Amino acid sequence: MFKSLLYKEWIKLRIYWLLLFIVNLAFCGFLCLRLRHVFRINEAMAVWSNWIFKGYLFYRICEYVPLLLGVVLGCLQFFPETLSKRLRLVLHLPLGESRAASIHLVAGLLMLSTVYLPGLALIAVSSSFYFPPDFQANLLLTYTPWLLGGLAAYLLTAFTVLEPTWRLRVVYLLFSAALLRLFFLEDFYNSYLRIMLSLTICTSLLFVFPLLSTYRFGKGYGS
Amino acid sequence: MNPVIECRNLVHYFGSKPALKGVSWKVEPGRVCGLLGRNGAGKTTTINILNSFLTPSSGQCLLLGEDAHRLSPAVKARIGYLIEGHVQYGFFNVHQLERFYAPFYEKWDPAIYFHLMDKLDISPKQHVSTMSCGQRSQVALGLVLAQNPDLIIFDDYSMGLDPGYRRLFVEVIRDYAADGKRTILLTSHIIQDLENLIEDCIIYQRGKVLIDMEAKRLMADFRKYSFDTKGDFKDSSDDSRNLRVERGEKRSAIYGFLKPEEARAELGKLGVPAGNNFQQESISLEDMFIALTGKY
Repeated sequence: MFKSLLYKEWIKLRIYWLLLFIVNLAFCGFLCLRLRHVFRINEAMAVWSNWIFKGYLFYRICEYVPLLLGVVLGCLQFFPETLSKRLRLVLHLPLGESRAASIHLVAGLLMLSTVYLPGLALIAVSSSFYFPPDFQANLLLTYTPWLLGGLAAYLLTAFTVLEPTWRLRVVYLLFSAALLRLFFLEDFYNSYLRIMLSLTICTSLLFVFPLLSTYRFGKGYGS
Repeated sequence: MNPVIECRNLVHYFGSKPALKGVSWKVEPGRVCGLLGRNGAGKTTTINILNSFLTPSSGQCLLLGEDAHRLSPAVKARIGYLIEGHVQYGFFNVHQLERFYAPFYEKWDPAIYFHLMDKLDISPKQHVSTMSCGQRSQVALGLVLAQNPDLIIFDDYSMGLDPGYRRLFVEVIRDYAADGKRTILLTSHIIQDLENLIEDCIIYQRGKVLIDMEAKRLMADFRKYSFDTKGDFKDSSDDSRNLRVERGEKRSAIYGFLKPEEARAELGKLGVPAGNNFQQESISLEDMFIALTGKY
């Protein structure tokens, strides 16, 4: 059953997944080229001075990219399910409603992770040519809250889209925007280091929210 | 034997508007039951409650002995449900759909599904999104039948289908139900299609059960008597007694569970002159439905 639902989500989303994958990879490739360009036209010492000692965040440009990818994938995955109330097909399957919804979320999170990771790897590899390992670690730790923000955005999009009433959708949207703001309050190196664990736990807890919307959808709230 | 479906005093409100006003009925095992009613009579509300997609304001529905709102996966596997509008996954092709559904059902029989697809010359590679409404309906039907369920609920199966597909649909259902082992509940607005299909008939009128009886008995006992129009009288009806008088230009009629002498007596009580040529006419299930629920 688990495999079947993953199979369904794969067939449904594979084209979109590929597009998001290419877009993210292209964007990361662009960043790598830009990084190379910066080191070509500037002295390495000057760049390091700016980036390492003065804290200039070169990668700030990709701050909201994971968030955007999360929102887009959430909409592409769940909005069609609400059209013609197609979600009923899944809710009628002989397995628990929460279990069915959870498998959908796992499928989405897996896809989103596979969109993020190659891009992240590309950035890590390209930066390894120019920076010492300590700085690379800082870079990845700075990037992590943005990735968590992307995963949170995906879960909150599912939470909002699956909600059956428009009034609560608006409330959820405002709540989601406020919550996601927490992931993007600071954008200097390692600013989230101390609360990284809390942020990760907070993101994990968001998994429950779309299950609530699915339950409300299944019970016909707003019909 | 326990009923396969049982509705107990269902009440439901949409806001302050009542949709169901204390509805109770049951379907025995192996029966084909038609749930009929005008638009807004409460059929879809009932079906949604049966499928646990709606929580009633009060009352309870039991499906195969379990509360419809707490169905175990094992019981869900015994229930086939065709959603209004033949909703299916457009991104799948015929073969992929079968591959997706098969692992969920122990009694899954792919031959039933593929036989129906062959019959309609639908290729296994054809995507659902490229199909006509009629083809899509057969795909949805094939998937439901392949589950080999003990109970099938068809919600407005005829929606958007041309007469050919409607007939095919009815023939497939009839063949499937022929062994008397499956229970079928269906709703449709095309009453004439159901005439030779359903064994039990439940008719709703404004959120209440108007008729709940065997279809054969309904066809035999509910009668129409026509007579030459004479004198001044208006259309009248009495829902509590399923009685209706319709005035026509030349011929008028009285409908009800009446013998000829009872029909004459009713007309007398209403002050309607029975006139000449008082005679019983044979009527279809659709005529009965309209006589019982009104034209407008």
